[in-house]
Amino acid sequence: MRPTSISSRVEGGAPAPRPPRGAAGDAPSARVWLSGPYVVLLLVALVVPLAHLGAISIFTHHPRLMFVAEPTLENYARLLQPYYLEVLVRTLRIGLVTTLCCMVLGVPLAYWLARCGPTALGIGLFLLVMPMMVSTVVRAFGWMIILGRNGVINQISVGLGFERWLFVMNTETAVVIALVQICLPLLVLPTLASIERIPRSLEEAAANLGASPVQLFRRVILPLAAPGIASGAVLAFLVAIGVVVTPALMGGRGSRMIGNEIYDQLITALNWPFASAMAIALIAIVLGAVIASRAAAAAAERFRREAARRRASAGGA
Amino acid sequence: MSAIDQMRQAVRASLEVRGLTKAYSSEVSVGPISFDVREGEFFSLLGPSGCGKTTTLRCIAGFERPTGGEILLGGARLDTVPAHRRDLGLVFQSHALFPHLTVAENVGFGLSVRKVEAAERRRRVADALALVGLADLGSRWPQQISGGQQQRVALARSLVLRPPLLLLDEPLSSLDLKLRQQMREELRRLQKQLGQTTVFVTHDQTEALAMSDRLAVLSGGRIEQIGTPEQIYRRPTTRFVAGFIGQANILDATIAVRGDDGVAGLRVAGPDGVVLRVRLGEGSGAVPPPGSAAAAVIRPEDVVLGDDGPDAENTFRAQVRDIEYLGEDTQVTLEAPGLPPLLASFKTTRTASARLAARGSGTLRVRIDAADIHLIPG
Ligand SMILES: Nc1ncnc2c1ncn2[C@@H]1O[C@H](COP(=O)(O)OP(=O)(O)OP(=O)(O)O)[C@@H](O)[C@H]1O
Ligand SMILES: [Mg+2]
Repeated sequence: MRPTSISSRVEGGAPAPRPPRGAAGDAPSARVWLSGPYVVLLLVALVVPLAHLGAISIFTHHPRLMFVAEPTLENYARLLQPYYLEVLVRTLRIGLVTTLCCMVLGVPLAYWLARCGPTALGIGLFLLVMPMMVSTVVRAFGWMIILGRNGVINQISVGLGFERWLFVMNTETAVVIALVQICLPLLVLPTLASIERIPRSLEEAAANLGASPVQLFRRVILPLAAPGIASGAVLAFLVAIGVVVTPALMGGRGSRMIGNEIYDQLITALNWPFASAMAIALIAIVLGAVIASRAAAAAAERFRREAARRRASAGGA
Repeated sequence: MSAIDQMRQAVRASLEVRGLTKAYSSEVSVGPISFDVREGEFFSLLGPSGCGKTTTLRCIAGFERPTGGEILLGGARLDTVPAHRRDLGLVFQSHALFPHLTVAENVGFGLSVRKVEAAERRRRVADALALVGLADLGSRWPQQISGGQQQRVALARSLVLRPPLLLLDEPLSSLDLKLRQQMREELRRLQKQLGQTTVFVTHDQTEALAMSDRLAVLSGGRIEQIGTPEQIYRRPTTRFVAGFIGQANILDATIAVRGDDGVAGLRVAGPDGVVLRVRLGEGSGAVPPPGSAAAAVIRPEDVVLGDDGPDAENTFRAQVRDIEYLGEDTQVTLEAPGLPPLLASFKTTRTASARLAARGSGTLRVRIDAADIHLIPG
């Protein structure tokens, strides 16, 4: 057994039969009260401010009073202006590309971490999680030093007698690079937890039945780790579309994200109603993403089982 | 049955393991181990926990890299081939069915990674499931079938690929007793039908003796003896085998006299140790020279109680110390002058029980046939 297993601490994992709720006859109603403190916190810190935010988002902007309580849809209508639509689309694009990059880099990494020895796992987890303790501002400056016009990479290329190699600073690419670094651990941890739960004997069985390493990964590891990968991907996507600092420091004029616009409206333009409308839109996207990923997972599972059933009954006939 | 004929076409092969060693650390190592498995043979590796059975099997399957030695399948080197190209069947103790695939998909997994075309795959999966008696369960999930059925699915999943060699690692040990006996018979029947070369790992001696054509007894990472079940039971070559397989009285002794035709006198160790007459049968080797140490192996069922036969050799009067009824058998601990405590057993029949009950003042005539005493190095 691996002493540093994180399965028990991180959510997500291979499908396991779920015990019925409130099993063994204890009354679930009695335990509801245990969640009391959290419910209070949720009300005070989330529901009330959210309601407030929602209310402000339909109020009218006023240059001096900030807003007046006259209901209007103007703020939402403004979101449909080409500039803001473009920001929205860009935000989603950056989020998706970041999530995809995290998956491509993170799933093999999680697999390797899950199957390496306990020492390597300890070191690997430390290296993975440590950057999360450093502020995003500092991390962005770190990237600037590496990727900048006169950064390390370009200094090397010039030093070797070439042109500058990299022109990514202040582009969307730079934002994605920095975001991948921020989001990678969020994807890797749940994925690692679900891969750790796949018994090694399944891999050996697959190899014994003739599956090459690639087939083994595609046919056994990926489907069994899918729930972990999905929750990690949702997490990475949510964090990626909500950032402010990273696009502000790494991106240029053409790579502003919705977080930057909210910040500007809130702090600079002092247009709270419009900022609120954008925030509500962002929250809606987040909720939509969560619901869509759940629905997609359920549909995929249904489809798979249905297909398996049809194939089996065709085979039996 | 067509399924059987189809599967008979399996490439059969013999296995040779030569000087296989696996060192886990400076203290823990297995081997060297050498044995041959003939084409179509059911060969068992039997031994106590930790003796290296699984290690040996995993080296053959390719999941463990041997430290030394070679493995040959049908005369060709196997140990240099990666696990997924060895084409061997392996059934795990834990079954290791894929939980995200149905029973039929599990069985078809090997065919599908080999890109066998769908119609042929369906046919072969159906045949394999029929072979193990699960024709109707193809659409179930592994979680929806019993342990014994899972075991059969695991078996079908290997057999459907017609492997030249089938490796079984304690496949029955997770089943309950009744099911285990049933699966034992079924497995053996199937293996004979298919002429499947099989290596079976178990720590259960009954299982190994009942199923095997030949078996190897392992202890501490080494092979103690290889032979047919009868050879292993009747003519163990080491003290470990004699003690591990069934029950045995093992008496330390020295050779007192050596006669012709494998006849010898054996002086049992201890004060006033008696001399036992021994007549070694064919295949038991020669009697060692007088004065050398030897141990006599006497199976409890060969100690005859209350018998008045004409042959007076090895006959004593013994005191009954303890009687244990084990159902079918009754086990008696005897004490005779010049002998260590002796275990005897007999079938619990009415006459035998009556004879034991009628022993009167407490002593009993005991006889051991000279041919039933087996010698091992002392
Ligand atoms: N991965 C490993 N690392 C270190 N030592 C190991 C490893 N696997 C097995 N061993 C050791 O090698 C020896 C043989 O183990 P093996 O699993 O082959 O025994 P076995 O005969 O199959 O026993 P059992 O009947 O309990 O399954 C044991 O002493 C075991 O502790
Ligand atoms: Mg074992």
